[in-house]
Amino acid sequence: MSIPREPLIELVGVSRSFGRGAGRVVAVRDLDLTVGEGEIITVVGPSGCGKSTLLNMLARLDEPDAGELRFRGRPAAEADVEIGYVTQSDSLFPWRTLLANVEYPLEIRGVPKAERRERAMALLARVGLAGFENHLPRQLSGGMRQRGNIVRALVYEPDIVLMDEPFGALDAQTRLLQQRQLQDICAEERTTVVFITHDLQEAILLGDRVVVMTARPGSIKLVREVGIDRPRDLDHIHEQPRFQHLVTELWDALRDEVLRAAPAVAS
Amino acid sequence: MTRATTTARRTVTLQQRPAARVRRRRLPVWAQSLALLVVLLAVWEAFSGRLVDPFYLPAPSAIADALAESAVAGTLWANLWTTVQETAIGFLIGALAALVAGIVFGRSPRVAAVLDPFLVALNATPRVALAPLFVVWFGIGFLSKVILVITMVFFIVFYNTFQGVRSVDATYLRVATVMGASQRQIFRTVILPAATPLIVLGLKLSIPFALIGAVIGEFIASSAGLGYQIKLASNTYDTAGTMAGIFVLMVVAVLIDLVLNRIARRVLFWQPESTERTTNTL
Repeated sequence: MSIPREPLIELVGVSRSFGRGAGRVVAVRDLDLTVGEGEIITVVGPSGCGKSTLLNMLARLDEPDAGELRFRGRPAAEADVEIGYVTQSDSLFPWRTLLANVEYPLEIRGVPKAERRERAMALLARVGLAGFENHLPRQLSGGMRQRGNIVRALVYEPDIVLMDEPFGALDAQTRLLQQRQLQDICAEERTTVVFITHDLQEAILLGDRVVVMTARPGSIKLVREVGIDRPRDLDHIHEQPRFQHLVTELWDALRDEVLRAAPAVAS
Repeated sequence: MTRATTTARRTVTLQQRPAARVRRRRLPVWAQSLALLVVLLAVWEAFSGRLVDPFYLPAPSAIADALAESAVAGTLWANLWTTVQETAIGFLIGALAALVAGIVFGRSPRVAAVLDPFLVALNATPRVALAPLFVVWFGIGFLSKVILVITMVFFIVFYNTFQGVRSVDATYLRVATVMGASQRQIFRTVILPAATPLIVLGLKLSIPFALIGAVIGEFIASSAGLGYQIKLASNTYDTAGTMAGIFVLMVVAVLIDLVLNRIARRVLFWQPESTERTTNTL
């Protein structure tokens, strides 16, 4: 049983489409979802299912054209929430050192130099990047850059952290390490996370709940409580019956959608 | 197993041998360049007056004499100073105006769209053809040269700035927006740094054109400057004097290029080292 949480994000009948006339494409349709404070929601779906559209609306880079998006009960545009955003590709500013990148969100908030240095350094050390703070992004490996990216999104302690397939481009071993680090940090900070991935296993091992989306127009096919206690042993979670059961159940749901999306992708 | 070892050993020897040979036999690159220069000058010196009429191709020594003569007389320095001033002032004004225009246009697609045909037409006009007009409008003095330099510099810097501002990676803009940066902060901390490589490239490319503008302006009508000195010498069939002037222009262009590359490397410290060099069109 999960503890009832205060709703932080509420999507009520949210739809978004692009283009006009015959070229009109409905990206997402009738999304209903409530995300509680401190909850980690993972979203899986076939490619082109509107995951990015959903994320853009949550990031307030885009607005639904029907339905309502609320943060802590207030319309998204007026809500006083801070959002962290980790992109699919690494998006550290190449002209700033790692430290200056992580300090960036604090800098634009006018946090005094000594304090922002201290906060940035503390987080960098937590993800094993101490000693690399004066490196430029191009001098770091892909995995290090992505960790820097995540740290930059966490350093100002946002209410919600959005992650768009952050580990998609990493090799398997690096990904495992980063998943573990992410789990540790989130558990400690009690951050609310919406995590988009195409990797079902990753969705289950990181999420409190997993959302499976349908092929375009994207809507929510099913939502499952993972129900595996934290902290999770990511090395052996695959052996748990609950995990295996979820993989089978969610894959059955996802497979149909992937197959439905595939001809559209091929054409 | 044996095969792998042999291959490995061969790779090693292949990599080591040429390197060792280089270290043993070859002079450093700069010394080789210098040696080539000496040889070329010696051949030139030997040819001139023997195989070629020195009237057409004066010997390096004759050019050096002409150079020394105008340096001692002081005319070289006065003319050099005039040309450098015209180039520098025209460059500064033109580049500054182009930076402002490039940023404004880059930030407001509407303005850019409305003014685009005018810019294309102006840019397509050979600026050299405007030079006589500038003489009529602004006189034969300093001002007409500066204006010509401005028109040469403006478009190069403008288009690069415009492109730089427009082509900022959208991901950076999104990330900064979500992190809570204001429009002003985004401009200062994301758009400007992201546009810097193209802006610097535009500035680098425009400097040789600034020099061209000044010299052409002086060719057309003037009473001072290196262009004036070259024209004066050629009018009196003084090929050695002409070539001395050309040599000074070459030296100026190379020096500017060296300084610029140094500054560019400073500003763009975050970019990977590139072997790209400014193409000098002089």
